[in-house]
Amino acid sequence: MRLLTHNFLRSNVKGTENGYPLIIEVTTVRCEESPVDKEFLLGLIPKVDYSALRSAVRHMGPHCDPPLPDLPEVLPSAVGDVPSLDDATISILHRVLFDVYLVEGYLVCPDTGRKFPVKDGIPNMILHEDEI
Amino acid sequence: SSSSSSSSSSSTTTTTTKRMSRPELTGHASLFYDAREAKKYDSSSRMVGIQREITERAIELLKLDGRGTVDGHGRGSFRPSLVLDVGCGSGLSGQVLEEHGHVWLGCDVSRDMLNVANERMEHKREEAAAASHDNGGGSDDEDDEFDDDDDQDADDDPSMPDENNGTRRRRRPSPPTGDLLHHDMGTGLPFRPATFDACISISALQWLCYSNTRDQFPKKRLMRFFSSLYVVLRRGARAVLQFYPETAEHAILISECAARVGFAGGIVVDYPNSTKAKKHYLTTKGGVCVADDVDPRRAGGKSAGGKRGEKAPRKRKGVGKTKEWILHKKETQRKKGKDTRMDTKYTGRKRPTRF
Repeated sequence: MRLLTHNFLRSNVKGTENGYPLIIEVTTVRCEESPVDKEFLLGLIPKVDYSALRSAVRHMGPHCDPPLPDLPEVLPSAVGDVPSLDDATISILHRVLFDVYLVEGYLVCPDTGRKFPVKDGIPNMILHEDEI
Repeated sequence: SSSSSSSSSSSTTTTTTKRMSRPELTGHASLFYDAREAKKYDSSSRMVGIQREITERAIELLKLDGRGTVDGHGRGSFRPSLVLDVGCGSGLSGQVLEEHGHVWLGCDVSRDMLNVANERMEHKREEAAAASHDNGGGSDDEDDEFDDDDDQDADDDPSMPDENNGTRRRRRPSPPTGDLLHHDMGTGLPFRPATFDACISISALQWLCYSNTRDQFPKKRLMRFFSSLYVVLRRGARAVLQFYPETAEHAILISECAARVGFAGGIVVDYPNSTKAKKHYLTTKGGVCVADDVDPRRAGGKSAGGKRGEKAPRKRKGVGKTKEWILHKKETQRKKGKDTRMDTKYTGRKRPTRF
């Protein structure tokens, strides 16, 4: 599971108010390199919840090789609807969003503490009938 | 993720005979698509061909922005969309999305199907890594034969830049762009609001029309799916959901549920004359038909309530809420665990008449 996916995921167990962001408990992480698509990334930034991404990076960072750098506290101010970013920031964001995978571990709902196991990179978000 | 056999048996659309060839009748999707069935599904070239064709058509019906911008900003500027693939199965549809340059996120109930998808993506990743080492652009156009089919029914999209697709594919060294999620769509999609640019679903929706356990109600599950889909899609995003309805009622049920949560659109039927090749696509768009300041979800609910309201005044004449009704209502609220005042002698008591 990519951090991009994590950024969109929320828990919808019965009794959750917000269920976002899910806390990551890391067991195994994998890093892959992929080509940067600058335009798509810029289009994506407004949709990404930046503070959730930052906390996810803090959870995942130490497990990666090389460790992920801390993201800047706030992104440079947006021009129009597309943020203006320098190439270094873009490559960091790309790496964080697309190239880091959570392979084994848990996603934990912040409200209810329900654990969603991640196996082989696929999070299991199946709910039982009494959890809806 | 469809039924290997339901496509061959889509002839059942008019008959109600229960055949074993409809896997939906055999039980839960995650039980039907076990490791063996998933492997079989993925390796059958006929199935792959059908899936691919349907996906191509679904993408065409989506009319994503990426295509629109091609002539606006010059041929190069194509913006990939973030697409949700509900019931992605073994990732066949995701593969087509990838070829079109989109980023996708698939979810399915069958873990075995997802494992097949995962394997394929793993394989692709390795290939892409090898290709980037060699620095040779992987120009694999194995799917060109299927593009020919599109021309027949590409009636409403003349801007479809076929040759542009080709160049785009060649330019990308194509590592997989998808991600997978193990999830049951009947329990509501677990995403943040306004996330996706589009949604496709290939041969999966019909599974929601069946209940596999006693506590599953098809309508409830459909409503849960559609209302969460509405929330998850970005404003004005389209969803194209291809499905195999067993009966006409199923098709109506599905489109009714979609309309109720506020989706505008209808069902597109391809090859209506053929029983075998007939395909239903529920093509919907969120938040278009309603004025901007109105929340279309609510508006949809209101209009649905309005229908009920038409009958209500006639009935209500003279009949107020009786004491029994109030007590019953309070009891049900209590059963739901809601905060309810206790029953006293004042409950449901008539107010003094004023002059």
